[in-house]
Amino acid sequence: MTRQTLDSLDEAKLVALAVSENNQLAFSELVNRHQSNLRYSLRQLTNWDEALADDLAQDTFIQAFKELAKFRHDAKFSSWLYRIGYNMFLQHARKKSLDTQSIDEQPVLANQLEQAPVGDDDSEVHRQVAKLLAGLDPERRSVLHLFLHRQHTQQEIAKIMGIPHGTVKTHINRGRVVLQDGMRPWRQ
Amino acid sequence: MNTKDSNVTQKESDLDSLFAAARLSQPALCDDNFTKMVINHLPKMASIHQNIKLRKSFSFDLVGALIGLLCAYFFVDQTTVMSSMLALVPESLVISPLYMVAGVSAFMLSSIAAWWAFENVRL
Repeated sequence: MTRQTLDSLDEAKLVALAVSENNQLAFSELVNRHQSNLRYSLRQLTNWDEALADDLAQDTFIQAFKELAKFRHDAKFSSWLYRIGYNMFLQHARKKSLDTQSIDEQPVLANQLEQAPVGDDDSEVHRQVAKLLAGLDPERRSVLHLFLHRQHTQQEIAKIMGIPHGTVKTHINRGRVVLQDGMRPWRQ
Repeated sequence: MNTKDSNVTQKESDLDSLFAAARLSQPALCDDNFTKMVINHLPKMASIHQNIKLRKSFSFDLVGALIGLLCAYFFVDQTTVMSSMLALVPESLVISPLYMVAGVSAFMLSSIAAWWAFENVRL
């Protein structure tokens, strides 16, 4: 089966191929489709530590491959992948107890964010949002990232992150207040 | 009250539009051999599927063995089986050098076979 043929297949078929025939080409197509979003999400979670985010993304895909046979098609593949990625991040955070101070207090991270590969007029908004999210605690950051960037519903977020719906609601309401205050200059 | 509500709604819609702009400006991260790196780690995992199949087959074997034992328990007279097995045990045992050589050779061969199986069919 060629890469061109795989390009046209939907995710369910690619997963089926990767599981039943141990088809690495099918899995590489899945990695190719999701790597950008997952790596971006993990960069957001790790306060823009690109090397760490990429390592976690790699571990996430390897773990996903191991557990691919358990994937149920009632959820989106991207959500399932994010869940694995988020658990990877939590494991890492527990080991290293990640620093969650504001990105402005971390010149190296702030510099990395300044060099983010964006080139249009909206890039400043993107940077400001990323800075504000970086100042939140990891769980709230993840909830807001899923809600505002990935546009998941509250129920979906609760399912992905394995936390109660009420907690998701609280994170969204409190996070919104922080973001509204931080984005005030942009709204004016 | 209505003014307060409309202010909240206004704020939320402003934030939503800013986030829509942030979403649109999210950079598409280029692959930079990322997919290749992931795939390079996968061959080691090729045995996972084999492992799952083996576990399934082992479960079937285990269930079959249990059913067999249950059947034997109800349909076979254990006293007769035990006495006939005991009758097979020789009253005296003489180990000749020939038996020793044959025994050691069999043990060595089975050890080599086990090592080969472990190295080549590693899970």
